[in-house]
Amino acid sequence: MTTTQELLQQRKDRIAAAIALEKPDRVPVVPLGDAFAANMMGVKISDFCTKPEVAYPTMIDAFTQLGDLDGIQHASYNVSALSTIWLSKVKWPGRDLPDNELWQVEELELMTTDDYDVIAEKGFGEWLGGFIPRADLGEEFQLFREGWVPTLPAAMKAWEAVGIPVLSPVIFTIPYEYFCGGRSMRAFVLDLYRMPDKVEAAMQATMPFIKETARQVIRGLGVSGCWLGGWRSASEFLSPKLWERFVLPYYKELAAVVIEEGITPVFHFDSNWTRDLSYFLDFPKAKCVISTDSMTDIYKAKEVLGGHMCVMGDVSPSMLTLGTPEKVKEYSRRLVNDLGPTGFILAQGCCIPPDAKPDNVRAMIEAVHG
Amino acid sequence: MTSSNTAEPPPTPMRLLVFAGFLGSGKTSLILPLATLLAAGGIRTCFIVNEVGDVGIDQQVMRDGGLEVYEITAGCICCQLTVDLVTTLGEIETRIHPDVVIIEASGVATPTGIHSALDHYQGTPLAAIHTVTVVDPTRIEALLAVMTPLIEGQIIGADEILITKMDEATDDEVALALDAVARLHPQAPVHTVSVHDRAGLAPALSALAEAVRP
Repeated sequence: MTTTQELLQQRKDRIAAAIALEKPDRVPVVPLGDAFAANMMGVKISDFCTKPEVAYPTMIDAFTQLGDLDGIQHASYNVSALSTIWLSKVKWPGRDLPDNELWQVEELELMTTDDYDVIAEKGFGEWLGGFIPRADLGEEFQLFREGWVPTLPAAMKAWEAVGIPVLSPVIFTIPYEYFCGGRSMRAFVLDLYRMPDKVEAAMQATMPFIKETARQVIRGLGVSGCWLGGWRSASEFLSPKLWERFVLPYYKELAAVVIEEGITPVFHFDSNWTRDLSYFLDFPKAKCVISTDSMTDIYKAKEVLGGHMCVMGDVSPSMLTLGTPEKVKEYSRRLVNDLGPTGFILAQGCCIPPDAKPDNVRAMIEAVHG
Repeated sequence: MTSSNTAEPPPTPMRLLVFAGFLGSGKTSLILPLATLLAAGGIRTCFIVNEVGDVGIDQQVMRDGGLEVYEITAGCICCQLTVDLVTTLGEIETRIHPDVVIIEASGVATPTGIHSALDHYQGTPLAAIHTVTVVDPTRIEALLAVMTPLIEGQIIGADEILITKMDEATDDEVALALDAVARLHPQAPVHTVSVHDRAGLAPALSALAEAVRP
């Protein structure tokens, strides 16, 4: 009989083979669901998203009831992480919203255009120290740094104790995402037009902080992969010229650091990135994963990048909520047959939505087993 | 004994009026007078706001104007919105069954994206979907330069274009907006309006009301 440790190793090997573009014994399935797990287990969203001691046991309880998965993308969840990605206020259930409502990012201009100059002159770290109290983000950053991050090793260990490896427990992103959130998308777009050099100088001055933070987190937590997230910087929004200038170089720089640290960058790309897929041929071969959310053409991703990086996705969140198990399984099987067996990991697009039907998630997980 | 003679006729399928346009283009300011116009014509209307971020609407004002308001929000920016739009529409059909549902799309949505989302709608087939894109001439030069695919997609996918803020825009800005629309979507009917001084507003709103009149 296979022990939990043997099962864990088998699953790690299967995922590693997919990332290395070798042929695994079968296509792995590595889902992610946060508020979905809370809803499934009847846990208050307010507790789930603010209390690490509630979050990861809830996720483990939920996903171990959903079938034979090969891994999980995140070990835990905390709403404070959103404020650190987008330098934004977030309405929390239980604090700003009713207990069972979903958290909501607030689109406010917390940064000013003067902040670009300060960042360029003093560096991002020093600027951030002053920005956090000014933007009233103290509670968010304290919870993130002191309340949540230190609990990640225990969360990863708890997943491994049930035989499930964690693919990408931490998130890093590029300055575009920080500034677009901190300035608000409405203002940031005009900044890119009116003062592109100033924005670029601030972005370049931010990268040393992001890279150093990434190195510290990777070494400190002992993770084997991470998300490099892209949401607002998607190709479907931005002109090609500006995308090449303000988005691509920063992913390259960040991915190089992550790979140098010996872990796998998972490009978690929401919205449509189809236009720019070929740029990812410049990233190191068989070292990265590109994870699309059903808006990017995953077949095109496989066609363009299939011999170069592992593709992950993309059962749409809508299908997981509004579809039937038959439809989910049919679509998932098609992905497995068409995009596997090498260089493909089956997953939902983006994140399993809060109101997804557990039977639909079960059907997705079952699809890799035939 | 019941018979088909006494049964209620099936309700008329709902009609959708989708407002697209980048954040801050003035969508919300146009919706209240339109809803008032529809209500005056006896057309029952609901409003779904599906905005990223600073929604900035006074829902009470909307309600006072006779509009049922449903707000859709999502955890971040993306994937949950489709599901919420479709489930909210289903809820509106079941609970209220209005003649018209006005959807204020997220500022980062295109008409094509909204249509794709509505493909998942499982209620009674909709009688019509009419999409109007609101273009802000005071920012069109910057938005076309920066958010090129998004803004072009919003214009190309529209059934009708409203160029707003005519009282604020310069002649050059208006000309640029008109040129962009003519280049990208020459067949689209175009209205130029100012909500502030109501210039051009009445004929534009009448055209929209006509497009979704049962």
